[in-house]
Amino acid sequence: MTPGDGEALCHPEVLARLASLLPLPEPRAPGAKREPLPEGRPVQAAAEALAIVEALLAQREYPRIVERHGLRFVCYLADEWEWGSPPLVHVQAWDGEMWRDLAEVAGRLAP
Amino acid sequence: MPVKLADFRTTEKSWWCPGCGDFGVLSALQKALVDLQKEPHEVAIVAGIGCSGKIGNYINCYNIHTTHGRTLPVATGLKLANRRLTVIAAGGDGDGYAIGMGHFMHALRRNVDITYLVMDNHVYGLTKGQVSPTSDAGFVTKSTPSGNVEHPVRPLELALASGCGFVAQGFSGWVPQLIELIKAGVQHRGFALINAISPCVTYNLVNTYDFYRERLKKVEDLPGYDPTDRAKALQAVIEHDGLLTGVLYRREGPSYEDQLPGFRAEPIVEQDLHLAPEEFEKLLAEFR
Repeated sequence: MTPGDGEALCHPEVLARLASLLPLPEPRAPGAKREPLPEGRPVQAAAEALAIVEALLAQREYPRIVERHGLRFVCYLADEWEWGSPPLVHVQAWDGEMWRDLAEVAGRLAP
Repeated sequence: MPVKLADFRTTEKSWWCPGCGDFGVLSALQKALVDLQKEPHEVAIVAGIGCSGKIGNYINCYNIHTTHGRTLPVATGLKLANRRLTVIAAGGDGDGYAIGMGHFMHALRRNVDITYLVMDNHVYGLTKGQVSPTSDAGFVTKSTPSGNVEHPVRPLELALASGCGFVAQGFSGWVPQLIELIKAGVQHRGFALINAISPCVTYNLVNTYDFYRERLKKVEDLPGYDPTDRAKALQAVIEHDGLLTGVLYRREGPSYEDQLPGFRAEPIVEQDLHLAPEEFEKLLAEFR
């Protein structure tokens, strides 16, 4: 792992994209009944996305996999398997039979 | 120019599931070839059918994608045609230990100088999860909804019993060890079996990375383990139910092609295969 991998995956846009995929409570609509953590969702989700990236990067053996909130996150570092590729996080959901990709979130490499 | 990892990389987008054990095997193979400073044109992958058979597409060297179970005869022919090539046969447990079992048994005893890298995930992944020859008894799949009633093939025991001169097992979650095993297998003169435990993250939720990390032992951690003692190797494999990694057994000696009378070292394409007219006539006269 290089420092570039961490920077690329901790880019605000990458964390925001990951956060948007987390199945945390949605913000409360005007007039709706108060649910747990309503206004706190963006902050909570962003913090959780960062925690997931840190957990992925902390792993030293193949594969880098973390399961949180019923989702599986699989991380490949830059150039780890495909030449010229940025670091990548596969976000997967269990469909009752297998883990399927919900999204592929690519890290932002410095220009 | 020294060979670099980039020399063995391709731009082919991977087809494997995220987290597939085959990525670990691919990475180990590429790094081993770089460590050995093999040029891509000196290496040929002969791959079988199955998820693992795609490995040849993801590594920049010669690649023959054979029919199901036929990696070993094709690899044997390739090696005999060009002894200078580093020939690596690669496939899965279904390809090698089911439909390819007949070839496997004879390759073990024939001892042609090829390295056989088996990505063993205990399941048929490409066809969406059926029982494979190495699946454990009781394993529930789409083809065994009440649990597998067969006992698994034990490739390490088979290889040891059949006189294979290099028997090793690695784990795709332990890439550094697997690199060293592949290097040793490639350098071994003769047939080298490397059974690489390569978890399927999609269709085998029993034999997972955690399952193996909790159970696998390295042979170098067994007190007094001697990889040149075949009987003790067999005993250790049986006692640990095959859950060992490392070089389990090695025996030095001539390969098949070393022992063939009149077999030349240079590749067929570099040999002068023309017959002088008088030699041809002499040969013809023998059949008149």
